[in-house]
Amino acid sequence: MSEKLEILKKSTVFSSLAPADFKVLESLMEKHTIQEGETLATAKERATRFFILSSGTLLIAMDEGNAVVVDRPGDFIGMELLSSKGKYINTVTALENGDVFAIKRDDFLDLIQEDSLPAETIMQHWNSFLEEKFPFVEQKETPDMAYHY
Amino acid sequence: MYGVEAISINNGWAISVVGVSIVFTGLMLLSLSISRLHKILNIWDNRNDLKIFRKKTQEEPQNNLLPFTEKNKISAYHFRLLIKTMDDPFSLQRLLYLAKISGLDRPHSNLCRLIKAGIIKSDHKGKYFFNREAFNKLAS
Repeated sequence: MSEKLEILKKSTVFSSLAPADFKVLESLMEKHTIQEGETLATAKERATRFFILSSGTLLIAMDEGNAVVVDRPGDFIGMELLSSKGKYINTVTALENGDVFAIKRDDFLDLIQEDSLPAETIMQHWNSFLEEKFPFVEQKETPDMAYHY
Repeated sequence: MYGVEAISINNGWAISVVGVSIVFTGLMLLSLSISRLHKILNIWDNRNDLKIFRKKTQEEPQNNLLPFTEKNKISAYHFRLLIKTMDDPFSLQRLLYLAKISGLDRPHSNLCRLIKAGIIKSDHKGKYFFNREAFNKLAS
């Protein structure tokens, strides 16, 4: 099993996808090694990538001094957790060395904007993931995803 | 007295029925246990999922993962001093910022260690608090 597939299968958001959908996602993922203290995304900058954590620990610094720490392989850092209207709204910093898989924001939004079963599955699990792990993060209605994220 | 008559008088029929019943019951139990053997082996293979076995396997890696060296303890002490100057619950990003400008050694990974050790815990509303009990146990 490839490393990408292994991570997707561990992910709360993506693990329920069909094998064919895993292949599509795998083709969008690029591995990046991260060093402690490295900044992956900076608030107010143009949002270009979303991230799936492979190993290590990330700190997501939010408005009003709020922050969350993600450390489970497969955790997805994207959409309203990371960006709004094409800009990053939070800053993501690595607390320790590790690896992430980056997915280009536009590619990911294209994928979930399709009116298809995988898009529905991803959104459903994403909302559950947010509710469970980040209950204070405001979830968005999504009539126009590219605009909102 | 011989033959069937002797058997009847000495309760032979009843004894043979009991004997046959015992043998058949035994064979039934044996076949049932063999037919369920795969389930028992499956439970044994996945014994780490069972609660009675889980306690030990979860506690051990926590202790193995987080050995606090003297250097780590000093770092934890410095973080504790910084946290004392902050509100309760406090902002994690503010703490990291203060650690950086105070010149603490490897602020990111040391902060990460404190979170993983449960010394700094989330209030699940975006802020964090200091767990004195865990600090005393692991880092004092």
